[in-house]
Amino acid sequence: MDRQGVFESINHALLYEDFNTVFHNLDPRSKLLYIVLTIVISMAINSLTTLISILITNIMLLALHRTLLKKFISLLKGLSLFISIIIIFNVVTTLIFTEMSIVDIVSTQIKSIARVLNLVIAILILLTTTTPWQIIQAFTKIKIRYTYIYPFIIALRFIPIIFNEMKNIYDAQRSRGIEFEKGSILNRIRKSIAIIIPTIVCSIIRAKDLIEAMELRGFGYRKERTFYKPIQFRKIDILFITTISTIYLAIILLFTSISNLF
Amino acid sequence: MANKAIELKNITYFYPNTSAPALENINLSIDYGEFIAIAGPSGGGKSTLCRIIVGLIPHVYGGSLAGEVYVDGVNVVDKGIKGVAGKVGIVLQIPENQIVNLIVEEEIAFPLENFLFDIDTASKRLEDVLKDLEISYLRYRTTNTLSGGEIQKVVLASVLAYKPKILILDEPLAHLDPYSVRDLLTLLYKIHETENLTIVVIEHRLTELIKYISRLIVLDRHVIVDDEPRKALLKIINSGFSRGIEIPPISKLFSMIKTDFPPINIDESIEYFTELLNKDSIRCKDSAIHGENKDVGNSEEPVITVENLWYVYPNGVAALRNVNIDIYKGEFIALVGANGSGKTTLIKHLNGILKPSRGRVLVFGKDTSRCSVAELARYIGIVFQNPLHQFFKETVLEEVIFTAKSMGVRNADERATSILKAFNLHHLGDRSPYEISVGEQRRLAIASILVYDPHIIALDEATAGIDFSLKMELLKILIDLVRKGKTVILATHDIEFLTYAPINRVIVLNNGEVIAQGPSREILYNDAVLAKARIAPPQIPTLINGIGIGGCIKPLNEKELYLYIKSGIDG
Repeated sequence: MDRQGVFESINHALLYEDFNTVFHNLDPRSKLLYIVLTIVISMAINSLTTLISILITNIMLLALHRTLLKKFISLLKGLSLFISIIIIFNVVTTLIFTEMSIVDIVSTQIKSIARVLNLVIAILILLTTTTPWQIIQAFTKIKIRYTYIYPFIIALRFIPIIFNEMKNIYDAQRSRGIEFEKGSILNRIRKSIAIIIPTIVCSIIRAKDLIEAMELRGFGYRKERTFYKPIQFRKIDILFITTISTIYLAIILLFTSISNLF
Repeated sequence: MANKAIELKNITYFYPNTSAPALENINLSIDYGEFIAIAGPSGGGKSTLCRIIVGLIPHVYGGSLAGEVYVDGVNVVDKGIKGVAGKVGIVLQIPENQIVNLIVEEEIAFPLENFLFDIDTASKRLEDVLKDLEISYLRYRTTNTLSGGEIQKVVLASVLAYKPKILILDEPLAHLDPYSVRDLLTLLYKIHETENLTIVVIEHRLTELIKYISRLIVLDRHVIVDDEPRKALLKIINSGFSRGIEIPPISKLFSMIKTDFPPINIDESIEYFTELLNKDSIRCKDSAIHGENKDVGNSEEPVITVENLWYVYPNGVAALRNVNIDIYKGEFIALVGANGSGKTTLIKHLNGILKPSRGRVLVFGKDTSRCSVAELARYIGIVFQNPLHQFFKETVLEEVIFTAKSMGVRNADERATSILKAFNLHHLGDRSPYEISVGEQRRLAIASILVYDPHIIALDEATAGIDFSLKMELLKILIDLVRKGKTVILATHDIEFLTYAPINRVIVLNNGEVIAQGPSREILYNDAVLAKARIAPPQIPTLINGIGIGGCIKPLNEKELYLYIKSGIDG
């Protein structure tokens, strides 16, 4: 049941849905710019308060739409186990191998969580409100050949499909009496082969079909490509980018000046 | 200037690392504007032929190809896929795997963009094809929320958008429910008539298809039959080449009665029937064809009880609504319904993979909400639709031994060997489960469940994608199980298959509700119920109802009807 929950929540969170938000109406290029801004700032800055403020800004962006917030929560649920393992690992290893104080360790951990979450939110907003086709068009506009980007985009699109397939495989194997929840860790890892191998085989078959279908419909026929509906950089995009940059800048200025005061 | 749409000359082909040819000395020419069906058994080279025509062979698959291939005048062997892309469109076997984009209109525009259509032309083509295929309502939907029939139409639209001269479909009907089959075929016929498009359909399910085609080709490594549909059917029936091909039951019936002009649609057959036989001569003899279904042990406790079962998916969609079913020991049950009616969801409740949102399911008196799947699996074995979802061992034998061991069967090795023998798979014991044929994989999937001898066995859509002779092979296995006192539950939309099976009870699902249950003669003759469940009735019952003697005799398949007619004539 647990495993199924993880599949489902991640799957659900990353899926593009046509629920019409402000972000759906944005040019994919502005969303890409927003991701770049968020990543650069999160990585460049090492102040706890600044990182937390940026995280709060991002969460408020999500909060503009309840569906997005729900997706974020369900993604957190899915990743919670993974994240907590990493945190525990980090804390334990730093405690053993360095002489940092507990307070420092905790603050470092919170900072890295804030960084990861900033990244996750930005990407979540892009993926759930932008179709891969729009992203491809955005990249083509900056002169990157479409045949190079398609593989990444298809990989992204396949994530939910493969999760779904894994769930069916998991069910089929449980029906044969494999108990994935029982036994030692080593044993469980050994059992997971029963899911991994069929998943790989089915994915390869799927990929082969897809490649054939794409080639036969003219994929890679020419170096260039047209788009049936152009993306447009509009007033709302300018507004969005200006707002985001202003907020980020304000946060940075505010906290660096405060810290300089003391 | 080319005068043939497709021309194959002396084609012989070997897949890489094989010593037996997949196709041998094929000569075939197809004119513009023809609507052709290519039938044949699984492994007879149908898909191979299709790959040769579009240039996937030899350009992607390798192997050795001898002979010449011309498509719209282009030498495919020389020019490759790019030489024919744009002239020929293809819909592959599993259309779901063919989808690249997330939004329906993006998917349809995909080839237009590749072929560098400008915005105005692309939008116009998009509009037109949406209208032609009557799928404008799908335009902004995400492709991962579509039903099987819808996906197929979207893929078809994406291909037709660039107006190829030739359209090829590889087993388009395999995974569709009967209504979607009719829907797709009428659509294809319409396009064929209005656009004068050359269509080649590769398919062994001929029952619905044969009405529309202009020529039927049978392929089993060689071209065995190549003729107009009626003559081809006669040749197939008379020569015993029917292996693997699903011939319409009405055509089989009339070939048994010995007419040399087999009807291929219901209206014709009704006319024929009335001509051949005096309707009044059919007397209502209760015995032979009426209710010889045995009633199975209602006195006993049911082995499965489903009580007020509701299941609601996390997204809020109710997949099952207040389902109540009792299943008794030794019953052979068919669970029918269109795609999306809740069959798979119900099956997944039987061994506790899914737990009821409301109500309960009891298996041998055990409440499934309180038992683990492994515990319930001892009583009920489930064979899912895709055999590839369960194979992960290196050999066929290990695959079976694995289940036996994980279910705690004593002398697992012996059991595994004997079940492989029973399923005629023992000679494949050390082969990889991925190397064997589709039919063998299907049998292996069933064998690896039956090895631990569960009391109940449930199969989900077990006939999807396998040819007629494999279906009959499967049926034998199932009948044998029932004879041994096992309870068999078969979830399917393959309604013609049911007419050959000694089903005790048909349960009809529609939209998550049980709308009818009863003996097959009752249900398969109930047009109203079937229509409500979006299932097309099988041919022989349609014929009998069409003549208006459904109240008198109720044969399910052509053999029963033939025997009845014979006994009527003889005395």
